[in-house]
Amino acid sequence: MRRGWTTLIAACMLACVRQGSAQQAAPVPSRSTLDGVFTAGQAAAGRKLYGLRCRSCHTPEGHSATIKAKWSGRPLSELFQYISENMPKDNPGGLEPDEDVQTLAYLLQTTGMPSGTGGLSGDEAELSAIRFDTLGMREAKP
Amino acid sequence: MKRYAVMLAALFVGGSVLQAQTLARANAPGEWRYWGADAWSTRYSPLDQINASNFDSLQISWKFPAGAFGPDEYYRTTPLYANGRLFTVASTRRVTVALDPATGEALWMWRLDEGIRWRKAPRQFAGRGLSYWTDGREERIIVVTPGYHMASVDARTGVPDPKFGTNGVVDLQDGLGIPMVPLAVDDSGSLIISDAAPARRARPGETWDPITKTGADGTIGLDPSYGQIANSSPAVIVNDVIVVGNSAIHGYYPIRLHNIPGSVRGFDIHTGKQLWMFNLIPQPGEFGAETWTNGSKIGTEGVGKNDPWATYAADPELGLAYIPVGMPLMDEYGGHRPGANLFGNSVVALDVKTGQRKWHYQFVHHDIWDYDTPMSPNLMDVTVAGRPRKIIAQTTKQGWVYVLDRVTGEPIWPIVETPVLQSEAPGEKTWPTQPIPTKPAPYSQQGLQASDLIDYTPAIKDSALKLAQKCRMGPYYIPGTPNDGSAPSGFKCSWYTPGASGGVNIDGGAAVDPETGLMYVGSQTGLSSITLGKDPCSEFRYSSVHDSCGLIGATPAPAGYTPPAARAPGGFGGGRLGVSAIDGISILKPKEFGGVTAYNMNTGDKTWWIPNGTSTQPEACRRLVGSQCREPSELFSGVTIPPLGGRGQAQIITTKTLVIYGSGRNGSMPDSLAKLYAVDKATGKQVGAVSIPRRTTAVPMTFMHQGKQYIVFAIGAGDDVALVGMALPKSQKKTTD
Repeated sequence: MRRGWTTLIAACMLACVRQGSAQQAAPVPSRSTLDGVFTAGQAAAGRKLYGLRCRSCHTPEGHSATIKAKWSGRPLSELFQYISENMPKDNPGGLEPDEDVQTLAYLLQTTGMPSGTGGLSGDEAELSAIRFDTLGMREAKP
Repeated sequence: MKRYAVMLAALFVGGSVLQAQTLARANAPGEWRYWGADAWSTRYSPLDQINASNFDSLQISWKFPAGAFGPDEYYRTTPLYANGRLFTVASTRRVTVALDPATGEALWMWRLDEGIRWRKAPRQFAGRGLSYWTDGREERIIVVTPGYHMASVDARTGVPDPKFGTNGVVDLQDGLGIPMVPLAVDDSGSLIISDAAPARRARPGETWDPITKTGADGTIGLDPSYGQIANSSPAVIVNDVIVVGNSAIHGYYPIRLHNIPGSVRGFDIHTGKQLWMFNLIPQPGEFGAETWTNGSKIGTEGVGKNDPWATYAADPELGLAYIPVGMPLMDEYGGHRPGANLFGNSVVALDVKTGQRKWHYQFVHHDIWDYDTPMSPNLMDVTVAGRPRKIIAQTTKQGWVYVLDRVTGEPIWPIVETPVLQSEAPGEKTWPTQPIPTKPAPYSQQGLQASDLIDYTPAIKDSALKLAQKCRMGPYYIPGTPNDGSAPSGFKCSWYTPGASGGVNIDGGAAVDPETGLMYVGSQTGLSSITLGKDPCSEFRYSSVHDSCGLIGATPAPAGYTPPAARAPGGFGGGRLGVSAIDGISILKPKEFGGVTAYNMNTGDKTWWIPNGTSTQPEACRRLVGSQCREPSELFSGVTIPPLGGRGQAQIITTKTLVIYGSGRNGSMPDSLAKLYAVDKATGKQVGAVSIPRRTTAVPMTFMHQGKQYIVFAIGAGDDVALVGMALPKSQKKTTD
């Protein structure tokens, strides 16, 4: 019962966000990470990068939990900005833009997000239009 | 042992000077018995079968799939070659393996089940390698494990030496003066970044739950309330003494205000008996304790780390081991540990017989930049101003090479204590001066001043200056700035260059040529920014911006705490304060920094500089738009940008005629292919480049086996890690033998 109520609210929120986005150009996210916003290839490249550049400090399991806790519900551009400006910790901003995107794709994959065909870009406006939703949101989708 | 080495040297090498150095360096010619080739860490081999005329003909002879032993982080190991065998480590368990050098086939393997100690090891990776010892009859491989055990195994069989420690193993967590207790865990994961989700002391009668993988598994280890300890690099063996240190947790985002201090210990190679211990945070009454104003006793607020995590060098004739030491606890904030904090950020020369300090030199006083001493120093015999000198050259994250007399520790060229910017962070008391070498010149960008900014056109110059002035500028050693508006200057960020990964870091470092006195430094350069913030669930007053709330072991969230996800957009990170590029182009003016820098250590002068690797894109395209081959913005239209140094740290060795390097895991131009490069030692001119499966992830090594010279290097990360052996095809080898 309780779960169903939460689901209903979440569905409403998502619908409201989408409705809002239809009326305003930006920055309200119009897409969800549940929509398959990265390609499998991007995530695979990101996995390799993760091993080389991130694994010294993070584990995919730990990352999945902390990312969901800290970034769910927010525009993907914020997570992207955080990665691109602050990571890797020992060389902030040391990844190329393409690598930031690939890393983000892999991180999304670790949180259970599906891949798609369109592919992720490093464009801020484009990323601002994508909301980082969690798997709970997937259940909430009609 | 000494007689054996002399005999080998006399057999293989001509020339009296080289012969004497070969003996001193304790490596048999054509072999690679130490992480850095020899005890001096020269990374030099006198071999010349592979040379400029045939380098491009190199082929992959074999590939050792280290991932078969389990996944790793990135594979950061440089193997050893001794007496016809190749030795390496593999996987996060640090499995020790002997290989057939001609085929890459495993001859034997050895591993230790370390239970919770491995699970919660702060440095859970294969490590940088092994140590080798022989007396001409017996041969031993010494491995220090992630859970901080040290084992001595027979190099021929992999069987632990029953006379060493207990059944071949010494427990390095014991003997530090910290209680040993039964351990337990509350989660099935590893440590999170620094000291979050640690092991704990087991409750009486507590047992292991194999389903949840929690509880007490019978492991005994250091009382976790004191902190964590680790190992990243091999011991160095000098005159039958194993000199071994430790590494520690990451210094960023720690939760607790104290941790275990670094130390170096000597052990008897035959028995594993601990001979001495040297505290790298001097305890009360010891030399240097006064550099910890609030006290240095274990468990004191602010006391921890100063860990010697890098590889070491030694001079067996002088009986000295040279230990590069990391920084004290908490990378970016030192308000909890006022003082110069010896022996942090130093190189310490220790007598291997007694463990007594012969001399030390501190490169950074009261570090708040994460400028660990990251690499074994290089020892050389050179002639400076007509006088033969025994020198030690220490490359560093901060972009300087410090050159000292390795007998006395005195600078070869003056190093001047120079006034530096002071911190504006509440509670922080930065040291008023830092030692700046007059020679050699730095190999990486130093701080950020207006003269360092791009100025191709007045409009570009103006834009760059506007961007730069958003954060605190200055020459070297710019302190980090808090984001809470407490800085009197009004800044909320500082420029940070070299950054925490150097300059030089463990990926790069230097190789030298003992014949010419040239030194080759692989470094990186660049520009980043730093912002300090209060982690609401850490005991530290400041760190770089982070939120530990909710992690196991974190302090409770304070009243009124707002989770990051519920904060206003942009409220978690530092915002866009520290962006260092305009239209994708760095505001930092390209200079001959990073890449590979050659120094003549007889004079202290730079000899040549080259970028790290080459680009596959047309030069004009790359120069116009940095790493992205696209149309320049209006601001940069018509502008030609000078060559960039490439990113990452080149991983360099030298041979009789070549400087050979891989670009490193981060390295080369972003669009470049993975290659192994060869350049002329005297000029830096590229004389060869061969494609390799992936970029190198550790310093390569070379050796002669059954008449064939091999180059071996590590690649990959995760479960896709391997050692690659390369050699000349048969036809090529015949023409050059």
